[in-house]
Amino acid sequence: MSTAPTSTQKPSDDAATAARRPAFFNRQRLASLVVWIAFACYVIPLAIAQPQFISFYNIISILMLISVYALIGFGEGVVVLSGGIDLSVGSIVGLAGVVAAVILTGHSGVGWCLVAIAGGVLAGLLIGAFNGIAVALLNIPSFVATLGTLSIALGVGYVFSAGQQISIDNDPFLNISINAYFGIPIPIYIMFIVFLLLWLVLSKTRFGRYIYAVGGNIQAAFVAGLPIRRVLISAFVISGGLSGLAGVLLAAQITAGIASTGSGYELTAIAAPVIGGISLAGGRGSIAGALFGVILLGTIDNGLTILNVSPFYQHIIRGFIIILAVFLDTIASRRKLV
Amino acid sequence: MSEPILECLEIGKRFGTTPVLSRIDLRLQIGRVTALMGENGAGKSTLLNIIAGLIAPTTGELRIDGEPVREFTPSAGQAHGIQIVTQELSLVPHLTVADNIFLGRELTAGSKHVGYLQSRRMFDEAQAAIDAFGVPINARDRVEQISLSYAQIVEIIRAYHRRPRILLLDEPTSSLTSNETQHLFDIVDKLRADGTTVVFTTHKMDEVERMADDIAVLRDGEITLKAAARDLSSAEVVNAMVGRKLAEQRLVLPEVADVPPVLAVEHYATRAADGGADTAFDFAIRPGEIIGLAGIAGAGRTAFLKSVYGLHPARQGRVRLAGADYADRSPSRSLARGLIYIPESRKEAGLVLSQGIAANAILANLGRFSGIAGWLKTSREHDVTREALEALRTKYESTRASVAQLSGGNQQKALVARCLIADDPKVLLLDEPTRGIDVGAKADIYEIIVELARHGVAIVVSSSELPELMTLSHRIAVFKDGFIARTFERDAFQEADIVRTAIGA
Repeated sequence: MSTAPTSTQKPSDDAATAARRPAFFNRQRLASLVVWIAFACYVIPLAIAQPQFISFYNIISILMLISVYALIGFGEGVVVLSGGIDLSVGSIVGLAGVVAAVILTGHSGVGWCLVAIAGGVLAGLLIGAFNGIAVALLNIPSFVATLGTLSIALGVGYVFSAGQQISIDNDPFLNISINAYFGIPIPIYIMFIVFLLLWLVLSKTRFGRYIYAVGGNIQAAFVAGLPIRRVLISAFVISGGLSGLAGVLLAAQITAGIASTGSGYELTAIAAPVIGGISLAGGRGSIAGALFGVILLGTIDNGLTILNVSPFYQHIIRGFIIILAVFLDTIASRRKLV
Repeated sequence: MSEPILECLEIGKRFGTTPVLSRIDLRLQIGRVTALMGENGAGKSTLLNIIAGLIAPTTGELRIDGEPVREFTPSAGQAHGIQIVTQELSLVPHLTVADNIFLGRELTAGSKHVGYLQSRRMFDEAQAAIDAFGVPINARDRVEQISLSYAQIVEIIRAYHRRPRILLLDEPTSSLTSNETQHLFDIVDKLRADGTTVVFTTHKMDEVERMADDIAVLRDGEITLKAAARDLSSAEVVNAMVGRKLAEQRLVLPEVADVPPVLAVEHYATRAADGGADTAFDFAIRPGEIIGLAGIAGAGRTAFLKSVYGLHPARQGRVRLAGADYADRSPSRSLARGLIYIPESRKEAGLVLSQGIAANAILANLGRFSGIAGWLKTSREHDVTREALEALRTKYESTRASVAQLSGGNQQKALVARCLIADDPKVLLLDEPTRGIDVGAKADIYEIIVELARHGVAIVVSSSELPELMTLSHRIAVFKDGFIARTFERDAFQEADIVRTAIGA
């Protein structure tokens, strides 16, 4: 009460106004609505002008396009919620594809297909565990640790593939991206199953609480006796494993393992949760936000393609959209630099 | 007496509806050093902040050189030649000492729009300013490289280097060792010789005797004593500080059964003793007992509680909990054994502000609310939280609402609720459980503390508000310089005695 009264006064004022407003229209909800509204402003006119945009076939192709991004975006979302960042996801995608392709070389049959899937995912889990240990036990900032593994995983992928593209001709493996049930290819099911699982884990289990608590205030989490190091390692393992799974699915789609195939994916993986309202500071947001983020990015890419916009411009537009989405969120939540 | 350089006339200040200062009359003379004394929350820092222009008074008038001050902003204060060194460090850690001393007033060459820094000149001038005070600080070191206490001295030098007419120091010695405090004394002597007017706040009697020409004592926002230092005895000062009206009557505390202590700390120390003396101490608490920890800021109360809980290691000594040795202390083990710690800074170390009320209340007991595969029993979580919050008379809309939206008092209750939700609490360590919250919320928390004690929980309450401890405790242990200097029994509580022990008068 005796020091810095002006700064302690402010939050309570905000809290008071927030309490007076009806719960439905509070600022946070408004903030998440703004991005939805902006999204609708893009989709609805486009759907009217180009009806093929909302055709079943096009929606499936959008979902197919985003399924790989979604998996790494979910993993990234978990890491960001826990207060970290994972830059190695793109390299893991490439490495997992290479590992699967190497395993499948000269082997046919369902058995080897399963081994290849397991191998790709395991590669991701191992890199993720390495990240987690570096961050949680060796106290290396996650930005730096995963910047290191970004390069390491890429290099390991190059070594395993001798820098070559390794073609895949195992039929059961390639069928992963071809087979469809009720007209919906398998990767889309995988995306939604993973989403559902993560959503349940994060919102309904003790581990989910730990993630939010560690990301929101690691000091308080430690004082409350939470196993903060285990939580951090788990977050990176989840991210690595999902990136590995994404790499396997991508290898099936492109029928080859290429070490560099995921390079640059980390940008989308980070952008998606951030667009969806997950705070880069950690502890705030929902995994549904990450799904929304990839859907938004995928839909925009697809719409621009339908409108015949050159892919070069798509990069520029995508970059502005990322900034715009966060800017809208900043206005709505009245966040300030100081 | 000469003309006053600064006058406070009937100055009053309220935050919201809470009056903090009322009818303050104070005159500062050129070249005199005034010690502003008073217990925590007496209004000392607020008064300094008003004089410095950081906040505006609600009523009354501030005059500088006989002219009333109309604008209360930091820059207006500096324009009048007033510099303040607050309790929080305000240096940029990655910059050098010299950069910090010149921050905002850099020496530049050429056009002022180019702003080419004359680094060499700044280093030399900064080093000269430091050397003039005789402290071994290198102006080229970055602030993060030097100790916290030297950083504090750099702040004072920075303020002095701006050639203030009035220098305000808010608890300048709180992070200084006794050696460095000597440096500060020399600095103040030099300032006085230069004709600078100095006001400083402190809790320590010996500093007042050494530095002050005049003493002003604040109690509950009013000046209760104003005189030249040489005319006052320390007893007079202490008497002016205490005698605060108790907010509540003494609570009726449950009897403590004569059983072995549930928590015993033997030959304990959290820091190296000053000058090699053996200052290790013992501490024991029985079930159902409430022990208050008193002492000025930095006396070692928080370090004691944190090390017992296992947040950082103790320097020496052992801890026995429920009769068994407890050496490998950590937060999770402590909680498993029923030893709970509620930290003093609820926003930094207590609550996860981005989370809901229930999520925060049960944070330390998630195991109890989760079943197979860690699945949370959410309805039970909210029921139990609601029950605990109601026992504490918390005002909240929903247990799902963000804890950040609660007022300070209700946030504190959401944190204290953890003690009620805990499985089988044996010992509670409460660090400043009522800091910065209103009287009603305090009473609710007192009531719960007594209720828990009645159920056999041992409770250690650390507080800088003595009346609170006197209301609440069976015994009060007074910390000074890292150890327990003296323990008072409830029937022998004398506020003046306790204050005297704490400030070393």
